[in-house]
Amino acid sequence: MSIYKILLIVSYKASARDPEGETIAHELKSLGYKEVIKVRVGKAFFFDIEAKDKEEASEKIKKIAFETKLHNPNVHDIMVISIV
Amino acid sequence: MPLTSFEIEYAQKVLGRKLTKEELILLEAEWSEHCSYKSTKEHLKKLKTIAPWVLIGPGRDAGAIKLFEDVALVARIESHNHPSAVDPYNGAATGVGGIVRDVLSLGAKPILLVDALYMGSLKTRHSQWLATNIVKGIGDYGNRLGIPTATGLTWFSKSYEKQPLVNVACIGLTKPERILSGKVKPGDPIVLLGNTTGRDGFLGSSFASKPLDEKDIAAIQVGNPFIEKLIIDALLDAFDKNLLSHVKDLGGGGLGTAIVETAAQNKVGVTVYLDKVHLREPDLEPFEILASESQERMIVIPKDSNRLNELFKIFDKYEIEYSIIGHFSSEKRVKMFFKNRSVVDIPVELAVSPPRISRKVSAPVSSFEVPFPTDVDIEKTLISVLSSPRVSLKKAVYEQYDWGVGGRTVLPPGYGDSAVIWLRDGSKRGFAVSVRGNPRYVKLDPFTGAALSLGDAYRRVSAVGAAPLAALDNINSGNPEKPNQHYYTVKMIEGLAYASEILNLPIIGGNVSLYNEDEKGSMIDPVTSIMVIGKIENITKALGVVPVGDSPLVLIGKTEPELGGSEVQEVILGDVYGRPPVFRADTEKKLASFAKKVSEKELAYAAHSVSIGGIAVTVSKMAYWGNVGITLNSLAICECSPFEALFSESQARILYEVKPESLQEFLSLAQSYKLKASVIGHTLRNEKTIRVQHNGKEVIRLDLSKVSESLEALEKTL
Repeated sequence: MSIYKILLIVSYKASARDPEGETIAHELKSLGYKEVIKVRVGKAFFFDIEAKDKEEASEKIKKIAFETKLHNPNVHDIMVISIV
Repeated sequence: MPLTSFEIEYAQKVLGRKLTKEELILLEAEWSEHCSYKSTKEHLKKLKTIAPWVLIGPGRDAGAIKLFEDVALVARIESHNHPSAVDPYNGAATGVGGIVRDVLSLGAKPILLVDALYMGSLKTRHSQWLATNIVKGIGDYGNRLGIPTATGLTWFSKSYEKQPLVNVACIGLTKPERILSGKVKPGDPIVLLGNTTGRDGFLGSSFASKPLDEKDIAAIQVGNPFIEKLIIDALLDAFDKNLLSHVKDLGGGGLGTAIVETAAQNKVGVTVYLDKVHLREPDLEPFEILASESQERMIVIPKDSNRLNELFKIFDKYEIEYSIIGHFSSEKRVKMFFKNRSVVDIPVELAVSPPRISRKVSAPVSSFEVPFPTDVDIEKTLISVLSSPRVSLKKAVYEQYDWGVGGRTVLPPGYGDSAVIWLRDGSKRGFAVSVRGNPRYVKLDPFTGAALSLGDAYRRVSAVGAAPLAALDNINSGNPEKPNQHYYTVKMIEGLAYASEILNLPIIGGNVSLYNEDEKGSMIDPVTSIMVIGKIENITKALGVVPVGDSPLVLIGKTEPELGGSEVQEVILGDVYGRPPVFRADTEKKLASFAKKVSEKELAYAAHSVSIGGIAVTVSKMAYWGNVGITLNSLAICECSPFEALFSESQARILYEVKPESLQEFLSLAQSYKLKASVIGHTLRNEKTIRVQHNGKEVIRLDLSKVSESLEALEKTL
């Protein structure tokens, strides 16, 4: 067993609206950053977790996130990223 | 829910040709239960909806009454059950958004939110997650709009473990002559205002009209209260300048439904160019544009098309997007075009007239009585009842709501039997609101259950000293295609019709939510939420629930040993059996007039309507709120066992803490109304216990600290 660092990102599904992201994109454009096309906002969780390997660490995080409802699978997409 | 093959054939026979994809989608939305009320329409006709003070009855986006000669009160209640089950936070939040827009539709300024929530046991992670997020969703959306949520109802039962019921209501104020007429005429342009139209929330209303299933997951919208707030401010500005004749929310069924309903109500036709709609995604198909349920959108019809520029100047000022998407016409057809191609061309009449269907009902076997065990410890029972989530204090819920914003809230949650709201117009006038619902009574007898909820809300509005004027109902029930479930829907409506008639309380609006079933197709406990509104001439005389101590407690109304469907029955036996309490309309009416007099004459310090848990709960809560001790004589409540006296849920009762010097006048007043009045005990400033005597023997002696601990149980779970 070793300790792995995992980043979990929860954000609204692409098909759902994201008022916060839309507002930020709108404001950035009005501040002159015309090159900004779109902003999506989400929540990030940094975990230190014990596991056999990176893959198992990611799987464990997915399971925890699902079981404890860190995200609602009906409206959110998640990204699980292993970081060094 | 897709149209049945019978409905498609019917439409095609009327048209003499096949339906286009867009027509099919339009009819699917328009003929859904959510929009057409096809299973309940014939029953809803039985409701009393007329009274001299009713300005707008059911049929528009909201109802309205003349609260005072110069004040119109606009109100609406609606469910958001299915979306809240899938996404509790956004489902509940967008429910608030929709109801606020409904009140705006009549030209009123929204000033109060009310909620009735039926949630799970809180013993599973799922039900906790649903409850927490529903409350947060309502709080966040309402708070961001700056509209207080000052009263509500929160119920918990394992029946709602996965399918919660979320009913939200909104109240607004305007002047009677400023209520929008809703009239449109051929040639009037149609302006679509607000959020862009996107693929989110596609066909939500037919989604609300069928049991939940996995595929529904895309049909959830994320609310944006900040856009809603801009719409509110812009429309209030436009109302002030008298620029609008009609405003309508784009709710269930989206653009298509809002336009067709307006055309049908005005007996005109309509032409819409779907490619003129401002879109979020440029590649939206015409059928998606007409049925999308993207939030925070409304259609507005100018009173005078020569003043369109003035209107647009307001929208520009608030940076709200808008587009002119078509106009009304004299030919009574719904015509829609997309890039010069005709996609819809059907008679308005067809769109709003689904073929008649007849639903069957079958009565369930009536529930039998189950006796209580003989060795019940009465003091322990009281503690269990006080810590039941249905009884214990709902601070964990209402403290997340901003109940005071706007500075109108005179009696906030926990201070009165109903919220008392001040008009803030330089006078002392105001109104009182209460919302009630009891799934247990409905389960045992849907007719009486619905009537009792109306009686309960009516009494709570009276208890503060207000005169009840109108009610709104939200029926939450099962699958109308199943006769044993549809029975509850029909009986609840009949119970309401009976009670509203006999209490002379017009029902000015409502909502019916059907298909509330679990994944196995079993009905979840049906219930009708009733919101009653009353007027109050002088808010400074409104009677709260907080006693001052060292004064007599007088119970008005008769206590019978009625324990069917009671809180104590569920706490001890785990379920409910027998018959619910009797609906005593005559006493309720007398009690309402009496209560108004008591408040006017300022004879009492506190008034609390007896509700679930009986007198035992009523006195415990009063002791808690006032931090006073209480002594009670059980035989003065009822010539029955102390258990029955304390926990009976007999209706039409209010417990008063009477000013000692006014006791005689209070008792004679009760006598003049032929109401039973019994001095059942006293409040004590210097003693911090609740003591109950029966025949000289003490049956309960409970420290206030224990009472507080039990009543605060919910705060630890939610």
